[in-house]
Amino acid sequence: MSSSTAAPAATLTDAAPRRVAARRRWRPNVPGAIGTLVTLLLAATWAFPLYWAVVTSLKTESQVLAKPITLFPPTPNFEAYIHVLTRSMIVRWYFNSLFTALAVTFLVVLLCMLCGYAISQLSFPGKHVLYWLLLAGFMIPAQALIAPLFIQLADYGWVNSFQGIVLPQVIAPITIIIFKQFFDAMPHELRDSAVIDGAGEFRILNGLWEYAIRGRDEEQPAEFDGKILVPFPVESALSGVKRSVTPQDRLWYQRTFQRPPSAEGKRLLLHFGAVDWEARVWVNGHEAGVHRGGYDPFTFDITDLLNDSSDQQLVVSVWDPTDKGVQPRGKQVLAPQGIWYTAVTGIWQTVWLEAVPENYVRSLKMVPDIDAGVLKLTVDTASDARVWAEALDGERTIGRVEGAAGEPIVLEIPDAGCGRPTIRSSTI
Amino acid sequence: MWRDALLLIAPFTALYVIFFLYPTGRVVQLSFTDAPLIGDGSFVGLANYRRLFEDPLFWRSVRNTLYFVVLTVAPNTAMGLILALMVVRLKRLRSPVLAAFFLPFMLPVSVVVLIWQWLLDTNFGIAQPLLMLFNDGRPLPVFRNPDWAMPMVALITIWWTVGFNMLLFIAGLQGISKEYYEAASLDGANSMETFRHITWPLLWPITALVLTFQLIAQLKIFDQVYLLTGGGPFNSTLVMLMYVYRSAFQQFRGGYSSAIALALLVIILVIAAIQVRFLRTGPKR
Repeated sequence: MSSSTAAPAATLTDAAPRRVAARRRWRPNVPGAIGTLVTLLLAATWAFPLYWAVVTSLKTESQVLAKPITLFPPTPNFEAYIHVLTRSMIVRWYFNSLFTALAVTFLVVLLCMLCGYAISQLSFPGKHVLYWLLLAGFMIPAQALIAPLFIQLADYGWVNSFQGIVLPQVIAPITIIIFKQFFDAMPHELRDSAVIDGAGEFRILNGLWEYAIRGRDEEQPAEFDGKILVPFPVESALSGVKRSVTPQDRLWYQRTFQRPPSAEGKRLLLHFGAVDWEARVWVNGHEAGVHRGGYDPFTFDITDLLNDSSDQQLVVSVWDPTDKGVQPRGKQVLAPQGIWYTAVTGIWQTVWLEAVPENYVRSLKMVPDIDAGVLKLTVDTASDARVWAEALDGERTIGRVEGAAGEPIVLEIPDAGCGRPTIRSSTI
Repeated sequence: MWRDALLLIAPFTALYVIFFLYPTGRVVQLSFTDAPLIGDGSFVGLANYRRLFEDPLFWRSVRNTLYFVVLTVAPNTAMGLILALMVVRLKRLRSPVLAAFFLPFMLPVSVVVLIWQWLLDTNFGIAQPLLMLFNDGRPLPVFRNPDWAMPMVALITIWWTVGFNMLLFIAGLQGISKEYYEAASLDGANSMETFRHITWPLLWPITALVLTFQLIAQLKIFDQVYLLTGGGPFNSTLVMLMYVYRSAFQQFRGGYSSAIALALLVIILVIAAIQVRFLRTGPKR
């Protein structure tokens, strides 16, 4: 940090006198010039074979054999190029090379990227074994395998075929290692947000829903008034609606969603971050539940309400008495003025789906006692279970406990308060 | 989650098993048989290995390989460093000079070999006037001379590959903070002292990396020898992989060829392990 602030100052004080000196007297830098000259000579020597290849290609055969050897062709002669293009199958050869190179590159990048991603980001049995096998592959020269590889390709009838050339070249463990290093450096937040956007266990249901405002006692509307952008409250401009909802009204929401592929054989939970105030939820016409309270999150298990069709229908109705009720409401009023704010009605936090196993950890209550060096944990699970919890310092386990779900269990953590141990727990 | 993982690793792992682990296992297995190139052959125990130890040609190939390593690894690394130091101090001329040194590396080995055969040809090679000085004024057929063949292959290899080492060194040099040089110049260090006490130690990780890459790559020397000399003259350039190739594809002795390949593998692993230990280039904990 200090260096980054000091650097500009140093350049300033440093450059000024140098400029003055330069103006005063120009002195040739003899050693520098000699160095540059040597460099240029060496570069010319290095490039000479290439130059010679080009020059030779522009000579006629007799000029090539002529003595003394000339550094420049008297007249460039393109005969050799014309010959190669017209009399040989160079176009076909070119295509062969190009095709092989493209196929190998494509497969190496694709397969090694997938594999490197899995090794870097996912956990699976045998991961470390695989990684060490790949490292070993980097040390073994492919040429040492030519004899058995040739026999193998002959067995498949792949000698002199594209697949015989391409597929063995796809073995590039070094590429996997490079990809793994890259994915290791990738922030985990990126993956988490991709997962939430529907790439995995979570799926966000925010976005455009249909809405309708009807009388409080009316049935579910058949026709809706328009679109609303969830999770912005109906009164806000961001929702795209900007209408107020009175205690005599009921706000209706509707959308469809697909059952996430990751939910196959699992329970599907529908989470609401918050809905102000009384929310009644239906899935495919069956009531999932009711929740009252504008500030707290709630969850319904909707697994049994799903049907086999691809689109599942979700309907939410909301009633909010605002300042005509007795519920906590802050400074929300129906007629805003002065210090009183416009009310918020309806869904105003994220709505999402989560696929969970048959039994799962619903919540984790942690009460630390630093003096005693213990953490009291209450693991709330969906149904009865034994649970375990462990404290990690980096990769090292420093404390572990097992017990029944729903009851406090005591996890002893040596040196609690020093460092930041990671706690993880799961059902057994 | 592990099902996703399996899906991601399956395609590569399948190819890896089919085209790498399986042939590796086959090399080991074949080395205990008298298999011809095609077909299984019968189990002969350690006969191939016993024969290997008594085969003067095998020891010749080991010596030749090590000779080639001596001729290339250190010179190629040193040359890469020298070229990098020369290039980084240039300003306007940097790009063409960089291109001159790096372009050969972009060529395929067959083109490299062709260019040098033109240059060194005894009838019309432009390099012959220079080579004649070493041969009493007569044309010197380098690839038909046992003393000249291997050094020439080494020289061509350096010409071909030094550009890559140079690039690695340039990247390393640019990674050294300018403040060290500023501090050194304030302390009155001359350019030799600056190199000795700043550039060299800070560049050491790259140097070690280049040396390791070079060593493993040069032990695996095959292409240039195969194309330039075919192992000759008088086996003076018969390197280990050349001998593997000759045994398998010219003499149809798959079992014996596998034993040589495994011997090469052991040499590479041992040398690489020693070097990783010695240079401390292994993964840091």
